[in-house]
Amino acid sequence: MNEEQTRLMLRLQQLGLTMDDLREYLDTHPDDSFAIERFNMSAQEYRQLLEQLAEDYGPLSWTCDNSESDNWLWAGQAFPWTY
Amino acid sequence: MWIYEKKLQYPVRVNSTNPQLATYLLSQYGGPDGELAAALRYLNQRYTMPTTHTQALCTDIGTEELAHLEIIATLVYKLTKDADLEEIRQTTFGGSFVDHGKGLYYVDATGNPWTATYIQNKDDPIADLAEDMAAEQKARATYNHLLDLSDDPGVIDTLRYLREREIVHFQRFGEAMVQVQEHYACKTAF
Repeated sequence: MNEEQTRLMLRLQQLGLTMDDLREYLDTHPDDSFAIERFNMSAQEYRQLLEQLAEDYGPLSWTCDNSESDNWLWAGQAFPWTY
Repeated sequence: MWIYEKKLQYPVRVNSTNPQLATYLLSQYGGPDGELAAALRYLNQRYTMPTTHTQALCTDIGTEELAHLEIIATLVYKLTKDADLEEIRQTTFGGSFVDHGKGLYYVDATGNPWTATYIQNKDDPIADLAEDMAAEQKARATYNHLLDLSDDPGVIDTLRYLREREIVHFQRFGEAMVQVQEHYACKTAF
C-alpha cells in the first residue's frame, strides 16, 4: 500500500467512524438537525472517496463495480488484517 | 443483509510480536464480555424491541460490535503471526497453539469456549436494555484490565479507542431505556 493509498484509507476510516457514531447518536436523537447535517456531509465525502479508491486501487465494498478490469479484483486484493 | 467493506473501523498497528498479550486479548474475542457476545446479544434482541428507533440502535451497535470483533482478531493475528516456537513455549499461547495453531478460536483468556449462556434475551426491553448497559460497562472494565497488561503502543492506542466506544454505547442504551419507559408510559396513559 503506497503513501497516497494509506492517506486515503485513513480518511475513509475517519469518515466511516464519524458516520457510525452519528448514526447511533441519531437513533436516540432523531430531531438533531445539526447532527443530520454532519452525517450528510460525511456520507457524501465517504461515497466519493470509496469510488475514488475503487477506481485507483480496486474495490473496497461489495457495492463497488468491477469495470476497471476483466479480472475479478475483489478476491485478489489484500484483506485488512494482512497489512 | 450486511455489506462487507475491506477496511477496519479503526486502524490497527502492532509494534512487536507478543503471543502472551494476544492470549489476554482473546477475552474480548470469545470471552464473557467480549465483542462476539456483544454483537450476538444486540442483533438477537432487536427483533422484539418495541420501536423502530430501538430496533435501529440494536442493529447499528450490534453491527459495530462485529467491526470490533474484526479489530480484536486483527490484533491477535498480528501479535502472533511472526511468533517462533520458543516464544510460544514461554507463554500461555502455547495451549491455544496445540489446539488451533495460529488460527483464531472463540475462547476467553484462559481457553474457555464461547457459550450462549454469556447472553440473554428476555423479550422485555427494560430488562434487555439494562443487560446491554451492564454489558458495555463490563466490556469497558475488561479493556481497563487489558490496558493495565499492555505495553505495546500500537495495541494501547486501539484498546483505548475500543474502550471509548463502550462508554458511548452505554450512553446510547441508557437514552434508549428512558425513551422505552416514556413509550410505555404514553401507551398506558388515558
